[in-house]
Amino acid sequence: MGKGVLKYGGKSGILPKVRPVFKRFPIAPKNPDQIAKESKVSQGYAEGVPLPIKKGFTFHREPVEKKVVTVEERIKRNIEDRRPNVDESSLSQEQLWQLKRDEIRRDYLKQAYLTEAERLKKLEEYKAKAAEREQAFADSHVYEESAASKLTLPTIDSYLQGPIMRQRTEEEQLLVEEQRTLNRKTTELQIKEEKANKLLDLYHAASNFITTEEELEAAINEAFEVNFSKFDGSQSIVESRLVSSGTGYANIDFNERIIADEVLGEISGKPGLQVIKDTLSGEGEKLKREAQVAVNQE
Amino acid sequence: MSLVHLANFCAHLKNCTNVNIATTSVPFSRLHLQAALGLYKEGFISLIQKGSTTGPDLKPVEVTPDNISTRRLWLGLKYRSNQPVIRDISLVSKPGRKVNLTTQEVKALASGLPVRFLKPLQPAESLFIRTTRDKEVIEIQEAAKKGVSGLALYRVK
Repeated sequence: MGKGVLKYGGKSGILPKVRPVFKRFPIAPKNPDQIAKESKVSQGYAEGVPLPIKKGFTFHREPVEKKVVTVEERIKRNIEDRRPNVDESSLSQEQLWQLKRDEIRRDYLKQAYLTEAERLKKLEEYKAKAAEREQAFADSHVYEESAASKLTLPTIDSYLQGPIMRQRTEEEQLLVEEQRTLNRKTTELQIKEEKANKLLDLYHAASNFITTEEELEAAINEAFEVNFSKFDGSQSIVESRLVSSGTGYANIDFNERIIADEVLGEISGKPGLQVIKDTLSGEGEKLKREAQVAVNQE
Repeated sequence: MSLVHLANFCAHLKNCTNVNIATTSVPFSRLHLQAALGLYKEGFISLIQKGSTTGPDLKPVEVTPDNISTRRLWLGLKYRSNQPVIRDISLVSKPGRKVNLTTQEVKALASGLPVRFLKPLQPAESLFIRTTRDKEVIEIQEAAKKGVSGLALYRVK
């Protein structure tokens, strides 16, 4: 489509919108069809919503029905009642022409009213007929299923009637949510315990860390002068391990230690997380005392 | 409604008939149920049963969000003289090319005429459409009798 006048079918200008003859008020009351159609449309301010306030305006909760002004009323009010009551003998020629012109205008207005009313009436009749035709067509095309399919397929058809899946009830939903929370918290606890174990491991290992100069001196002294043979032995072990291909023997000590730690709940022979927890909570002490009492009673 | 799922449904049935399988299952959904019911009404399959991934249900089981992933619709396939009854089944509308048929087009197709790029229906061939108004899946002849329009889904012969 072109950009300019082509858009309007090649016409150089657009005609103004046709002014409606009956502008503000309808000329006939609504028919039942219209009333039924409008009853489905909800408009206006909902309950609880305050009406706006504006100077010079009146707001209504629901739209106000427009007054019906029939064609006869219009003719009477706008044409008959407005006819001037003057003595023509006292008027000049020009004034007489004006009077004549006004009379013609009134006449045209009256004609316009009557023609428009006639047109609207015809339109209404046409619409009613079309609706009737449509209804008749729909009525004549009511489809009936065959007796065989009515009798043989009730079950599967019934599946399709309602929803395919039943949604969870409120209690079931609560249960599922609880389960999800539990799962999340369990995972979090596992992670936290793992972290605590690692921290404890580090804490135990830290007891051997060299942090001051004196300790460093002492350690060097110990390694190279006091306990020289141990250093030598370690060196030879390291060398032999580097040379030999098998590493199985190297893991034996390590594996043994892991198993012992797991069984006794320790970390490298030092107290594990559970032991520390018991000590902190006083549970271990209590157990020990109870055991002592039991032994004494025997 | 997903045309992709329907495409999978058609391809699955075709694969099963190609290797002569007696019963098969498809995921349990409204569209699959409607499609299977259409095939059953036209005599292309012999059985529709609710079930799970392990097999058809022996006792009725309620469909809930907890078991929906394992719910299946079990379909019985038909064979005649060692030939599958479903010779071919394929989508008409594709996700990228939906074929909406007007009432007139539905009637034309039902009376054996071609419509747009759709080849005329052969004897013993059915086309299923999804009606615009009720969202039901029905055969083209039934749709023509009802005088409805809709989306052409799949054709089977």
